[in-house]
Amino acid sequence: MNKANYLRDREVAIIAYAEQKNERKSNKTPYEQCAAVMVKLLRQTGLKPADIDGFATMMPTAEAGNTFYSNMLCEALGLQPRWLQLSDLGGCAPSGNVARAAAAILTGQCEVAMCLAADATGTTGVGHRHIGGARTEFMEPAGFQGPPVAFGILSHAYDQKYGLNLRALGTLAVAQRNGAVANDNAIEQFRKKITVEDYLNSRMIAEPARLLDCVMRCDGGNGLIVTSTERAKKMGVPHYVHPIAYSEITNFGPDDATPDITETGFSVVGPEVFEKAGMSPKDIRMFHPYDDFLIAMMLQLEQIGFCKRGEGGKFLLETDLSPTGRLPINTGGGQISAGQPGLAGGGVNLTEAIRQLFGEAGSRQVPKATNALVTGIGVIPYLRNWGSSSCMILEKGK
Amino acid sequence: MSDAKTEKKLPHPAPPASALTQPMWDAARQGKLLLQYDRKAGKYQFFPRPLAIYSGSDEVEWREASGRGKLYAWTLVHVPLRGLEDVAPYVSAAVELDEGVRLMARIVDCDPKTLKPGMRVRVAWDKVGDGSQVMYVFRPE
Repeated sequence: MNKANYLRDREVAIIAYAEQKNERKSNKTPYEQCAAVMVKLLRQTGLKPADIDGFATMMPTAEAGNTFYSNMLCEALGLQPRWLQLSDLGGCAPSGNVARAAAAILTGQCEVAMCLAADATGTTGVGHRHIGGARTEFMEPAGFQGPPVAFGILSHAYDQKYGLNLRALGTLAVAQRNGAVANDNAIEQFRKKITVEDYLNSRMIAEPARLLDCVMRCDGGNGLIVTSTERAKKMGVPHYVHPIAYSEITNFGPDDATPDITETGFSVVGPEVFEKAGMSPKDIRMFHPYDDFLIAMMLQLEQIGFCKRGEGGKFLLETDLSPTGRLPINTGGGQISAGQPGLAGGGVNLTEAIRQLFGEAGSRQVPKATNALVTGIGVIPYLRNWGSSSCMILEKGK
Repeated sequence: MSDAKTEKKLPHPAPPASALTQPMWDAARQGKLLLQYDRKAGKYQFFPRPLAIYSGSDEVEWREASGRGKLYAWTLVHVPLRGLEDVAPYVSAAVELDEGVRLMARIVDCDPKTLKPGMRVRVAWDKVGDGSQVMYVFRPE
């Protein structure tokens, strides 16, 4: 199932990326964040608004309730796309949009696609949103105050089954924070080193989830331009990156009412994306996993296949995760240390991977950055792990 | 966020019923816990859905549940949802009913330190909202 790899022939290229600095409160709307990202992308590529004939974006929390967001965003930005995509995949949206844009390009629906993601949860707050459905009717009256409750329960299930290695999670927290210190786009208050003890001593939010297990929402935006490799060559851009394999799954295991909630959709899409690319985990130069909670990264390491189930903690303690190490992880701090610009958060991991593959990561540059695995996670379901899981392998083109 | 001192205390959050779930909340006020049953697949499902998720059919009916089950996993919530400040820190748990479905619910009348995976629990009802509605909670048997 889903083994065809339309990205195999490297006919699609990401030719530019841009990112806003994450800020606790920017007083900017997603429209303004997107505009700022778009200006940078056009400057870098020499493209004009009229050259953009494909456009993809995601549903920001700050625009909750606006059922015409993507169309109104085009109007605000002066775009006239012939292919338009709004993704509400949560954290899978930014890389999911690259996969969708690539398919649109390969099927002749557009030639140059801009993918933008922005949110302003720090400015608008999240209290105004109305998600409705089971979230409002069956989760909130049961004490669900946000993702920490779901990850608290998930962490407890993991602890019962395998034992939760807190020191390993702390090591991951420290590695990512070092990345944020070196990342000018990271939220300023997080650009200060921490220790494993700081992690262990951080206050409990939803036991065993501590403050430093959790991501902090903020404002920000990011984006990139996808086109055909042929066009990229014609344009003479200095760098490009190929998406070479992508897999995504939503509502993993819907017919199991009493699942092992530590099992995620990555158990399907992880092995599958490697099969599509003809690669294995040992071929991955660096890992840019979606990180809303530290344990989410450990589960990904186990279920994508970097190590066995229950051995994520051991793997984290034995592996050098720094930019010069064996498996660099989220070299810019990830979302946990660079900030989570709302539902545009998946773009934090994605843009850092492209920045590395372009060789533009400065003091945190990974040597011989030839490829990267980028993942996405989206949506908290009702007592069943998370909603969407996605994996994309990127390869340096030029 | 407004100043904590001036912030009005909200009631425990009430589940907003829909036409689909009204029978369940009506029964809840009588102290009965209803679950949807997929007649084709012969299995229960929770939360209530607009169809039978196992068979894809519309052959779904309400059946009264035993209200008994066991603890699967839980979290002690130190930063409460608004409205639940008076009971914080509270336990939000995945309770596995004997009917083979899990419910997210608060566990009450217990010392969180004494909870054990697999521990037997039984449904109870918490008055929520304006006091005319109820929400299921569980307590150790």
